[in-house]
Amino acid sequence: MALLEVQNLSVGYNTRKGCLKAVERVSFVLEHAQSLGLVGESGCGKTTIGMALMGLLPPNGSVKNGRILLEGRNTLTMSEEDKRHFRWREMAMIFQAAMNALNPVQRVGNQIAEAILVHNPSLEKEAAKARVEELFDLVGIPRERITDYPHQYSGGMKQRAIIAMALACRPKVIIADEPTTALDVIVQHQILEEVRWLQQEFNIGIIFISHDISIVADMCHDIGVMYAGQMVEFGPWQAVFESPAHPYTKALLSSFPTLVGKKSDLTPIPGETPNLINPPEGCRFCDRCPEAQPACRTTRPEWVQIDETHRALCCKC
Amino acid sequence: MKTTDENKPILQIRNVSKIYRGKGNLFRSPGKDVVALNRISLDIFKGEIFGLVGESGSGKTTAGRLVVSLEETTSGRIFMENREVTGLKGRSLKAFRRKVQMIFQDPYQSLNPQRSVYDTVSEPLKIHRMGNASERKAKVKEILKAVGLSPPDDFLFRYPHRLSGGQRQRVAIARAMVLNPEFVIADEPTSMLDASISAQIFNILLAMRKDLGVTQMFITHSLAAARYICDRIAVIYRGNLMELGPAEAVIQNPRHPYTQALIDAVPKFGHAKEAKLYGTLLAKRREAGKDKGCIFYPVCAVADDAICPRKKPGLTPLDDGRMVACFREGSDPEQTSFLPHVSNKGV
Repeated sequence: MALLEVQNLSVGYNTRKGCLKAVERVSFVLEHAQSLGLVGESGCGKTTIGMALMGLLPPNGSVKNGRILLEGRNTLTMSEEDKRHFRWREMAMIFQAAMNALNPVQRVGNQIAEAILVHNPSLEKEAAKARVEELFDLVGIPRERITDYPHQYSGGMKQRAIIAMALACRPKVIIADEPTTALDVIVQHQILEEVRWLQQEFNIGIIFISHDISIVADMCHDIGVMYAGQMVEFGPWQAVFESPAHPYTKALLSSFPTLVGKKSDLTPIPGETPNLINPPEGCRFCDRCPEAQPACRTTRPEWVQIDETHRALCCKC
Repeated sequence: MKTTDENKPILQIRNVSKIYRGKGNLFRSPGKDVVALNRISLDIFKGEIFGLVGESGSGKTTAGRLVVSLEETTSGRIFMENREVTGLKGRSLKAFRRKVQMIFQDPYQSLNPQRSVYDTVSEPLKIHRMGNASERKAKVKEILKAVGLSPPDDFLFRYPHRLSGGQRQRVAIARAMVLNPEFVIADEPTSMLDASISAQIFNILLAMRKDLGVTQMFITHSLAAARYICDRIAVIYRGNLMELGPAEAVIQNPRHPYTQALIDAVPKFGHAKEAKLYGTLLAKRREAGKDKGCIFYPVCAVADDAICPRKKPGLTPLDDGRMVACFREGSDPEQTSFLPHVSNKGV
């Protein structure tokens, strides 16, 4: 059985101007100890997917349709009590902007211990303390910093503390939402290496959410490319990045500067993303797509299977 | 280098340091001084795009702010076309600012939300009393078109909240360009933008150089972005220049251990196997005396314990037209700048 299966997930936000369709009919499967990358630009719905998986959508957001199966159990139909149990113990999240994810008036060690104690009420305080020390060793923060406050930490250490917190209850799935965006490259590299090692060590399935395609290409086995609330291409990273099928993936790749390989001209994607309150009837990318046909404007694109594992949402493929 | 005026430096920085004095506290001992820039010397030539690459806190933004005289140097001198800009005041400072403009990092904060695009872009013209109202309007429209905000009439009276991040940054570029400056400093102009939008901004900066011959200093943390748009780059680490040279040479064949560590850390995007690993970063930092020796010594895996902790390497030219500050590459201990002395013509 797959570790996590998302079927036809749609999420909407109620706004004054109507329902904003932030995520529409997204499906993917994450296997045990695998990593999956969700890439796309701001506003494409990747963070919304993470929040929906955790059951942490803001009050005006709700899952309109679809199923989220964690080892076969639908998390959307769980009771609040079960959900609280499942959250953090089975699925944890590394939040975006780690700089602000820690409580500034609590010592870092206490915050992590709290996460452990809340989810394991029977645990002794001493045992929780020992577990926190163990976690600090794992993520590479010196033990003497356990009693520090977040402001005494550097950016990289805060990020490590957040990762320690995500690991606190030994979850099966971790959702890492832009885990290294605010960090310098050298620190980013160290943290990604750390995450890679922890994943192997504890068999964790990871969903990487990032706008930086070079990070997901390095870290993930499967890649889902998101555009305007839809997943437009899905497959193993070699397939998606080396022979992209969807015009958006191609455009995204050619607008991304790289360090290795031939230096080529960057081609920006013209235009802007569509309004998701009244999304276009046909393909959402057609206004910016160099390969668009008149039919793209009116007909909804269907998934096309390029090969067994690689698919794209485009009628031109 | 693509430029024809190769030998004409437009900007010369000589031994510039910037130290932020710690204020301390009434009840505690005096605060610590922060050395943001430590004796930096470099030349930027007419018509080139010069990249200043470094991590956060390396002093790259400080360097940009010193060049436009938003801050004062602690020591050292800066020359623009052989005229000293350090210490300019009053009318001469205003004249200087007409020629040198800056594009700031965050277009969400650098535009006044209460002013329309027209107000923002025409303000520099008003301050410098250029043209009458209709000439100014024509100029604003022309510049909006040049940065890709067309038709300009659609944008003239919009306020920043009705612009996307990429459009805002283009307004910021238009504001910098409207005075036809000779030199523009772009401080991380795309770090808040998505990749597809960043590429638009890069192309606008490249077009500015090609069509108008504007010399630029491009400040960034991204080596990949620098590779794409810069002719030469300087790598800066904790206020010290480590390596300077043609962009492609520095990136493909870095000679300073810090540059090598940076390149190691960048995700290779599927090329991980082909990429060479330099392994110059020490896993655990070592103890080192303060203010002596190479700034990179505490984390350098290839350091020579006999000399690196004792003396500071000076930025020294190598045979291939680049400069490196590392004893391993034969740098001399720090000495006065090898760059030619600049005589001040006065303003």
